[in-house]
Amino acid sequence: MIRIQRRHVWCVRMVVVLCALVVITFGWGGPIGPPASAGTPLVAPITTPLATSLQSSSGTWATLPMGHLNEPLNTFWQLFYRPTGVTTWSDKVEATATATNGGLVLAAAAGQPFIAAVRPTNLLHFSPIIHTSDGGRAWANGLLPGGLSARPDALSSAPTGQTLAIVDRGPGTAVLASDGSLSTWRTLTTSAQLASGTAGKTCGLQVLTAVVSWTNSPVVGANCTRPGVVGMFQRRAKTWQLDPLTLPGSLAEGRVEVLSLGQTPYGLDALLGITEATGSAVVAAWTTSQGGWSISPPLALAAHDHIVSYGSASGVGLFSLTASSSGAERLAVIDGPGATWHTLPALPPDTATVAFGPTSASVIDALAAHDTTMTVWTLASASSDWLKGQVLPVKIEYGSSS
Amino acid sequence: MPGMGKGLTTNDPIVVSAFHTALIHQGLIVLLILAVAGVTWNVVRSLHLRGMAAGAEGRPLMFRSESAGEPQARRVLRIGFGLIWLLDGILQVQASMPLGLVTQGIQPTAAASPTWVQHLVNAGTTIWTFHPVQAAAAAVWIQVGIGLWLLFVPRGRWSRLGGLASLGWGLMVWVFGESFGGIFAPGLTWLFGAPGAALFYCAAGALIALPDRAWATPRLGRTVLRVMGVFFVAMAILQAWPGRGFWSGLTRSGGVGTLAGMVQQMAQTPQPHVLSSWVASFERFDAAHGWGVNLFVVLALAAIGGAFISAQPRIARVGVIAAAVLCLADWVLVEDFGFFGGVGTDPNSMIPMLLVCIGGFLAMTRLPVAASSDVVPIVTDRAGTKSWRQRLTTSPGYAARSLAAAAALGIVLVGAVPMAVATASPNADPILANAIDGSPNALHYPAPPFSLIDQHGQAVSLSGLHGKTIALTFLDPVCTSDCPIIAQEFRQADQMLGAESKKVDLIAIDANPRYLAPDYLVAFDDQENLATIPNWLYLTGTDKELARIWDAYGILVGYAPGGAMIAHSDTAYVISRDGDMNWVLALDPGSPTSATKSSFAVTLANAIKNSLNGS
Repeated sequence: MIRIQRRHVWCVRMVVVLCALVVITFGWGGPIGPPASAGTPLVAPITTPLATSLQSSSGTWATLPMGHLNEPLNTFWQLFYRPTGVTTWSDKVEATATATNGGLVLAAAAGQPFIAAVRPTNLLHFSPIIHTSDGGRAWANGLLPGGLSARPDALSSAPTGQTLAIVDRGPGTAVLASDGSLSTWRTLTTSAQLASGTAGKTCGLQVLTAVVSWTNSPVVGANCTRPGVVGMFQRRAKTWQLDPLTLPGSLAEGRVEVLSLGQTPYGLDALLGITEATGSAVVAAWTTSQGGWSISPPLALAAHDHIVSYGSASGVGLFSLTASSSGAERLAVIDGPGATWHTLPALPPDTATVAFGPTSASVIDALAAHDTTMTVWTLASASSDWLKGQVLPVKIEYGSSS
Repeated sequence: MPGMGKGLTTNDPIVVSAFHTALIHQGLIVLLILAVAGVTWNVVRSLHLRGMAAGAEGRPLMFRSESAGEPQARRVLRIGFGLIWLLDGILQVQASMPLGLVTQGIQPTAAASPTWVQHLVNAGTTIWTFHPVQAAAAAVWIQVGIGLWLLFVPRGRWSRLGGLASLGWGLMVWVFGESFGGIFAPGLTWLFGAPGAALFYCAAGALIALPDRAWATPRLGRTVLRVMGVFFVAMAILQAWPGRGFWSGLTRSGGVGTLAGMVQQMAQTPQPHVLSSWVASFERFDAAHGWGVNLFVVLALAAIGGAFISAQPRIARVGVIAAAVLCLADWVLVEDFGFFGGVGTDPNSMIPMLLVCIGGFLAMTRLPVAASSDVVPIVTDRAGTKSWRQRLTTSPGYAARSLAAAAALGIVLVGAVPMAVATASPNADPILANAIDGSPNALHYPAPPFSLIDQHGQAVSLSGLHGKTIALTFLDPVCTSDCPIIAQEFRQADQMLGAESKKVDLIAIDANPRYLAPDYLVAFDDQENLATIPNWLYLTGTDKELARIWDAYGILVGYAPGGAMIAHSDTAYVISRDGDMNWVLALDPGSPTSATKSSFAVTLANAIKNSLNGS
């Protein structure tokens, strides 16, 4: 009897040990496959792609990725150029003389050279710069003492000759300024400094996203965690202050990210990404002659839409190129203050960005890239069809960055 | 050219050839050890027989069977695991072991484990990746040695020491080779070999190392069976745990389930067609009946576990038979025998696990009996009261065991000693660099002159550097792949030179025709932490000056299309203190690892030392 009881106790102990063993040792192993992420937002934050186009004094520049886009070291960003008044594009990326796997960021201003900065990739940790004043016939160089941030407006040049850049520095970012050489830079501020200031605290600053020079004073765009606050910081009287840009009531509940900042002949333009619990939208804004802002109606994005490209349209207009989860792309354009977004005819497949002009502001080129071929599709004014035009093969040196 | 270099393939002919050469050399030493052991045994036996013939008149001379009286359970474990270690040693001879074991066997297993496991495994495998030939050869002889030790030393302290050797090496294999058998990784399952074959080697080694008295009662067998029983039940619970992908043969998206997916992978391993067709058939069966297969596995594991926990001989016997059937089925249909594919190092966990179960059962049910009285040992004295010298001369069994153990230990040391010597060096074997880019070539002609400016704008000419040995290369300051690696190899070579680095200048010449200003060179130096090296110079000039120097040194430089970096030769020269070219080295890093980088640095440092020594 005693023996049976002892055995019973032993069995109970074994079961307890067994359960503990299973729970402690294997319990956390969890399911096989990707772990469920905690706190996944209902709406994904808006992405900031580098593919874009830019007008310079001599012509239009565009950058987009080609090659094997699912392999970072076999994705090569190209630098296409179309001179003013010409309808064909040529690839000028060879002028970078370095690997472009990390992407290119473009900047231009009236009377100033066109600048392309190479984002560092792989073992390179700083950003080489090339610039040209004659449409890419002759190039000069500069460099950033750090890696340029992966934002299409992380680089900006002003008609005054000042160039601003956002570079990654440690866990944060820094805003640098150069007064012409593009090799000598000074630090204006850092994300940590901005975040710790009064304006930064009001915003709940996360990251710096865009930079532009306005009236020879830097303006820095950011991503704010405080709902409804637009993170646009301007340096006044040696302090950084939030621009008093306020969104209308319907948008004031969302978190705002300054996607782009640009100069117009009349002031500034900005593209804002707004993420709310129920969806996201893009809003354009322009400064007014009274010192305030003119804000566009929102361009609503569907739940799984993502932005493929954005940038300047003709005049003071802006464009937004988005794609749905099925891959269908939508090009929306807004012409300027007081206008509304209008959607253009369905884009050709694989469109990476669009460029306006050159012969007429109403003519648009869609630049579609697939593997090693870039195809130009043109939408003439009042037409509803994109017409296939130039086909530009690009020689890609696969494996050269490995 | 940056990015265009070849990496090391697992069957690189230079490394494989060196591996085979090392095995042959060490094999000759092993043969010598065996010959010496054989001769010694004959001498000892002759002396002993002579002595016994004189002292044991009228009595028949009989040697006591060496394994007589050894508990049956221990014998099963000893011979079983001896054979497995021997097989493992033979599998280590496969040509892809030096370069393939870590990259194709160990790292993929570790990748699924937590970061701390990966760090630990990486720390251990660094020895292998830095010295692949010595490590692979060491694994062969250590495992063959342990196998022979267990097989041919059946009794006594020497035999128990063999068990400890099995335990120690098994632990090494389990931690560093199997990443703790994957027990910290998600997806742990008995079907795929949890908790790792080597853990059973350790268990068997520990049992073999136990003193004789431990086998005298059924307690040891009961304990082993109960531990195995708890393990089986735990595995059953884990197998039944929902959400792990085993209850369905197909996923919701139509893909194969967890078990079928694993089996599918195994079926693709190079192996005889008949075996892959069995495995593929089971994969299809599981895809169609995943729920039923898992239910059967869960119930079988639980039932076997219950039978073992009961520790009742009759029930346990049924459990052992069921375990044998289940283990063998899993070994063939899921684990696919475990050793195919070129880097299979063992027959996986099922056979070792089964041996431990059988050992436990026998230890409980077949207790050792006293040696048969009709076998009369030649030596009747109690051995325990004698010194080892006396025992060696009076007991042939002890002498045989000692000689066999010494020979086995010698075989283990044949692999372990060169490995230990290699491990003492923190630098990788130069064979890796030789395998990627070939050996350095000797040159004997004056180095082409140059006159450029350094990163600080100071004029530098080759003639002004006479009196110092120069290591010269050509680097692109905005290169994203090879040049930073080559710069680090120069830096490592400089450290390896120690005090002699004062007699050496490390020089790079700009190899990018667009980025010529010293600013880029300074940025590169900052990026690579070269600014603090006093004998580092990075030179630049006008594009025409550089083009002339590139041409004179045979360096090809060209723009590459499509956003690729500048293409240029990855070459280094060692120039003597008199300005003569001594060595040219190809420095294309291929697919760089810390081992290949260290190997290139060793090769460069050796070339510099040769130049310093005037050879």
